[in-house]
Amino acid sequence: MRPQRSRPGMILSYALLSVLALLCLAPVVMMLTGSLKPDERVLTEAGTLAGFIPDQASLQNYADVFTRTDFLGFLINSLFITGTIVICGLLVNALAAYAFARLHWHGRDLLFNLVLALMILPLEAIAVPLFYGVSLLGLRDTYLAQILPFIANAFSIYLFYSFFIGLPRELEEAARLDGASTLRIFFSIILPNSKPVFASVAILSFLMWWGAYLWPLMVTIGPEVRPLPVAIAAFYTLPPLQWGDILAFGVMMVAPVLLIFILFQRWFVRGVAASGIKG
Amino acid sequence: MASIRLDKVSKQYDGHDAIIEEMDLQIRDGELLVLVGPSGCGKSTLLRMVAGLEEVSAGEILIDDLVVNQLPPQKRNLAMVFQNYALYPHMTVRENLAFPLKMQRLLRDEVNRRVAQTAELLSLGNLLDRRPKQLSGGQRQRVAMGRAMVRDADAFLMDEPLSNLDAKLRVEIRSEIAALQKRLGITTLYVTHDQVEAMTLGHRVAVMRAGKLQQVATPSRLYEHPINVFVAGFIGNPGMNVLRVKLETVDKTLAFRLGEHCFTLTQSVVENYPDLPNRSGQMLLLGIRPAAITLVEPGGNDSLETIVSSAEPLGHETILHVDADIDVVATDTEDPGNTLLKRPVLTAIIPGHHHFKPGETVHLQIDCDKLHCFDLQGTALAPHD
Repeated sequence: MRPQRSRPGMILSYALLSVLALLCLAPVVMMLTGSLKPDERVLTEAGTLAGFIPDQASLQNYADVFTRTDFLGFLINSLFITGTIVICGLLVNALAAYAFARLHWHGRDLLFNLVLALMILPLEAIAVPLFYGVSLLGLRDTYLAQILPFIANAFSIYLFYSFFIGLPRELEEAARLDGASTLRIFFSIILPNSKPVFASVAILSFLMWWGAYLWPLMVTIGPEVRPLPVAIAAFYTLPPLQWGDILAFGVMMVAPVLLIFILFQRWFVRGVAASGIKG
Repeated sequence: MASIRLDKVSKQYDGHDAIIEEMDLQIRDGELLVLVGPSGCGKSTLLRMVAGLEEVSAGEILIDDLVVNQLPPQKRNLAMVFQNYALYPHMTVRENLAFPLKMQRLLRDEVNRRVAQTAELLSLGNLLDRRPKQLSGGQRQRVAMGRAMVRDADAFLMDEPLSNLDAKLRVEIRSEIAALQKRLGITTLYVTHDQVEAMTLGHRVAVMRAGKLQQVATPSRLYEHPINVFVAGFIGNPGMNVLRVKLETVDKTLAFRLGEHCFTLTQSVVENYPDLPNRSGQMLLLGIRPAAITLVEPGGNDSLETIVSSAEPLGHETILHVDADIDVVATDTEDPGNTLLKRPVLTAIIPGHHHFKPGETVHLQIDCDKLHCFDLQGTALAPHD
């Protein structure tokens, strides 16, 4: 049985948690309210209680974003790049993980350990040689440069692998005896029984690549293939400096992530729990 | 239908002892052969090798005289029923049954016809649109059987298909399997650790121990003429009592002593074991089935005084375990003649419902007409052809 906490202890922990929650929420609320205010009030009211109250709210800043910049184009770029990475990644990483988890081939364990070792390499460490490679292939300033290097992902392979290794082997053996080929087994038996891990990997990769900034900044030159994170940085430097517009841009950029998080919260929590990562 | 033959088949994983050693076995066309043995004896591995799910380390597996060692499972045309059924959880019963047929690229009408036919045969008609998790254990078992039956497989392989069912259902499904196999006449290799299943289902039973085949015979022959003390102890419920005794010649007849009493061997036992007179004065192992021991009133000449250790009244009979001052050997060791049970317990089956109290003195008589004789290594004395 869980030990009963004393009343003052409970009050203290709730108070502490509330302060932490406020600290986390404050910037988001300020962004939202700031995006609804006239530009001159955004900075003067920032840091005061008035900064959190959206009186005389208007959507003017949102309209400004659309007139001052090609927001829709950047949004489509971001959706296309992230969506393609997620969808292709699901297929490629799941197939790779299945081969590591279930098929027998020479060098499997060595290669799997190498793939796992890739998880500790941050993008920043390999960004320069990767940039060199992409430039050599003539892919700079293309969608492909932003998609191709990130489809195969060690962490996704690891998540799929952990799930597949736990599936009952008899299902595959039964299918094999029923006459199914390896690919058929993957698509007809494994895939339909692995929905939770597919959802988790999809959500985690979406979150990871939606906010990617460094790499798109390196490989994009013009606005044509630029995604939202690079676009907002460029927008920030676009005179005149309009804080309300920047905050409106930020809200619209974060909205799809929030929407996905709210819709798939259950899967997201499961995915984080499965991966053992902490927020 | 097909016959399956194993020719000196061995299985060994790298750096480990062999799990199966040079096994020869034939499953005849249309036969139901039960492979039985204690857990870990290699029977499931053998079945999986026949199925193609495990590689054969040495020897050959032949299906209808065709060596199939290199054939993948899907090319062997065998159907398998797994211990945990292995039904596809995301498919309905109908889809589960249809899956092997779709893999054969049969036309939709033919698939539907065969699914309906199998469903009717197994009384699954009203369950076709349910998913496996909506079925009871017995129903799942039936669907697993159906998935094996729905295509024209050359043989069935069954890996402990009843072990996840409760006792009552097990008896029910057991007789269903026997009836179905008889009706379809399909060659079947059935693996179990349950000797009751083996004895009731098998046309022939192959007893395995530690990767080696001990004896292949009909259930009655296994029971009546076990080839060694392991088979004697494994087959029969409860298993045979095996005692170490010294054979003596008393008044020109062969006899043995248990405690203070002398038991003479009957003429039929001596005839059955022609080598016995030459062994007078030697130690040997005597097998006594629990059913060959009867309860008698005290004072008889040939009765053995024992103390009740425990009793299991089953209604129509009572299984009685008694402590006695005799040498009882362990049947599941390499050297039974020198492996005495620390606490010598003799088991008897007494007809009727009795209430014995632990510690109570009872007198037992041994039917000396039904003795089995083994040498000290545990091998049966008479030639068993």
